[in-house]
Amino acid sequence: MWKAPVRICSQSKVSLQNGRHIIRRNINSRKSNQISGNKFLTIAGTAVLATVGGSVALAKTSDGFRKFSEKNIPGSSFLYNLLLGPPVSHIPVFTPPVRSLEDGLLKKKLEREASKKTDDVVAVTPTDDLVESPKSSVDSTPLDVTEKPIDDEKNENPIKEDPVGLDNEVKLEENAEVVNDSGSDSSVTEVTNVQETAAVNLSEMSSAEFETLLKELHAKASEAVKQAVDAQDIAAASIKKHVDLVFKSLEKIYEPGQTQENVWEPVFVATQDKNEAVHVAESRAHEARLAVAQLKEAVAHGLKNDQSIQTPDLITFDESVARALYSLETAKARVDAAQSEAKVMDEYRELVDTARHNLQMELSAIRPDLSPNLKTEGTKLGEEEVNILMAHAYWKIITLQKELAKQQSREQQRLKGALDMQRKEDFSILESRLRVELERQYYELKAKYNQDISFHEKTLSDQFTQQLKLQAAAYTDHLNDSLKTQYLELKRTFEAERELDIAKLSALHHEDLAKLHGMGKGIQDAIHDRAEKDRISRQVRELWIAAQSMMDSLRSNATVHLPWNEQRRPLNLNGLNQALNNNDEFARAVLESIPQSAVSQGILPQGALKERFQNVERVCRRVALIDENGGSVLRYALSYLQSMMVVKVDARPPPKQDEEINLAELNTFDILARARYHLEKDDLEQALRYMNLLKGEPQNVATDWLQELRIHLETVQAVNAIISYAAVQAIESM
Amino acid sequence: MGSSKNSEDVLANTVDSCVADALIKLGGGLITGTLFSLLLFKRKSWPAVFGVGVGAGMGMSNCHYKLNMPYLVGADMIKAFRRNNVNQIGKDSS
Repeated sequence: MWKAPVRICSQSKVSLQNGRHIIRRNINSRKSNQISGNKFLTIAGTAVLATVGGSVALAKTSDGFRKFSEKNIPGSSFLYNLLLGPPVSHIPVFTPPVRSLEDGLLKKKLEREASKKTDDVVAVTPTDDLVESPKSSVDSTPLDVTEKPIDDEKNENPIKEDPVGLDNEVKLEENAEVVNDSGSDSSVTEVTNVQETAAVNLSEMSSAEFETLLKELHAKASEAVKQAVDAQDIAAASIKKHVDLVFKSLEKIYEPGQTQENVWEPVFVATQDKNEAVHVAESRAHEARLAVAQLKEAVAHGLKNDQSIQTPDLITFDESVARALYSLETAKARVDAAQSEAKVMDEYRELVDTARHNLQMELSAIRPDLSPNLKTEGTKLGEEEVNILMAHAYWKIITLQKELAKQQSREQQRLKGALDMQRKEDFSILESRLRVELERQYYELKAKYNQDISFHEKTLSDQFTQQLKLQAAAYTDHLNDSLKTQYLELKRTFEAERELDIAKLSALHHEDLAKLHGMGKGIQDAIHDRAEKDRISRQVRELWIAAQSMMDSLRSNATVHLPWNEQRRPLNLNGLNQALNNNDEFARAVLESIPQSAVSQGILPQGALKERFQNVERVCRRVALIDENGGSVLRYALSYLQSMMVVKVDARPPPKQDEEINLAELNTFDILARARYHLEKDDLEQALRYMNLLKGEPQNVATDWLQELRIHLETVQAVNAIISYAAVQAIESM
Repeated sequence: MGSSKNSEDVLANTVDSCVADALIKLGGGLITGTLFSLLLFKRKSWPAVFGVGVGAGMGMSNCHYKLNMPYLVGADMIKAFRRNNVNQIGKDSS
């Protein structure tokens, strides 16, 4: 049972083997192919890598290539972004050119002030220069451009300035000793920063910017002034302290148990403090003066440009500028006083020093071996030495007394002279103070005056604008009213005209339309009638054609190839019905008159009838002897014999027109002959007439044939009627 | 095929049936006669002839009847009239 499958398997194995062989062969060949394929792969891989690497390198160097490849090659943008980073544009960023002119001027100013500052720091009497320099800077017009931006920043201080000024005065009265050792460097840098950042042209600013700048400047100025006043107070305080300390030290130095270092160290410290404080005070003062000068410039500029209406604070700023200056002046005066005291103290110290030194010299001249320090325990002195010392002392005392007497005598004079000097000084100081005070008041008044003016201006301008608005409103109302009335009038007139024109035109138009409408209607009716007639005529023609075709089929000999039995066709009235289309009563009636058996069972066409007649004739002849009474067999046989005897005449022509026939005398054979004749002439009706004369058995025999003939003739009659009717209608509708 | 319904063929059909019938009658008569002669009449020929004659006569009579059948007056052909026209017998058209 398994042989066959085994065989098949073996065969298939063979085939498989063969296949395997084949496959092996294929594998082998593929291997060889693969080897060459490997080569191919390597070559292709290297080519691809080379293109990729080359394109990356090119993209790195050339932006155009990168853009082009990114646009056209889909994955290249990813690759480039991965390897090269996002595309960097190498176009240098455009920086707007710096305003060199203003910077140049500004730089010059800075340098000037910096140099001034260094001079002030070195010399200890810088105050006059400081006072003059800002003022000169304020007055100097060529640097207006740079002054104004600097002033702008001061202009924002005025609001703060008033309380700050008050505070400063209060502080002075309280005499707070705040040790503020923040270096002067920061103040210097502050000033430079202030100046450098204010490189903005005032005249180009809008009112809002101007106002903000003013506020900034005001803030800065107030701060600067405050700091300056503070620093100056501190300086004054430190100077005082120093003076006190020096006095104390001068006295202390004679006390026992005090080393020189102990005494003089605090003095050194105080000196340092004093110097530092003076530095700070001077720089701050300088700075404050600058800031106030800026503010003043900006305020002046604002007033010049009539921006007072827009910046109502301008007048207050102005006021505060004056106040700031005043406070600075007062602080400086305090510092000056302290410094003069210090001067006095210095002189005193010098005198003391020189006196001591002289004394020492004398003593050492007397007693060179004595130690300079008289306050030490000292060696025991001998009597002589004591005597010499005492004599020297006595001499010294007498000389001193003499001097004292001299001094006392001269005191009055000197006092007088000093008083005079003092008076003069006081006078000058008073003058300066007065000047300052007057200036202040002048500024205040001016500020107030400006304020009032601006206030009045503002109110008046507001009123004016209001009135203008009212007037404008009234005028526009009037205009609107007049326009409206005009518009209405014009509208009325034009509308009236337009209505007239429209009426005329519409009347004309209607006339034309009516005419055209009539014409159109007439044409339409005519065409419809024509169309109707045409339709009817067509229908009628169709009917005629259908009827004609039916007649033809009835009379045709088309199916003569068939025996008459099979020539029976049911009458097909479809064509006629279609042609009639249910419109025609007459035709419908006529069609209905056609016997139903014609439609259902069929009609024999003419040829068939003729053919059938032959048989009918034959049989009729054979039973010619049998009448209505019937016949016996003998009679039948006799009639058959007779028929064989009687000669068959083919066709007897009908008698002439005026010849009468005695129909009762006709026998079967006659009748048959005549009928035959008429049949051959296609005169079925005459044939029918003659055949109706048959009597007896021939009548029975011919019954069916006669029936068929009658049906046929009825149909023919109907169709004829339809034909004639259709013809008449066709002629009518033509 | 058989008898066609045409009136002209009625006669032929009748004659056919007549002949067929006559033959059958003849045959039957012959057979009867022969039978009678054989059985009853001791093989005389006259019963057979008589039988044939009887058969032929019967056939003839049948034929006659068949041929006259359309002319016979049946009850369905008579119309009865009222007494005005007494006893008018008319044939109904066949």
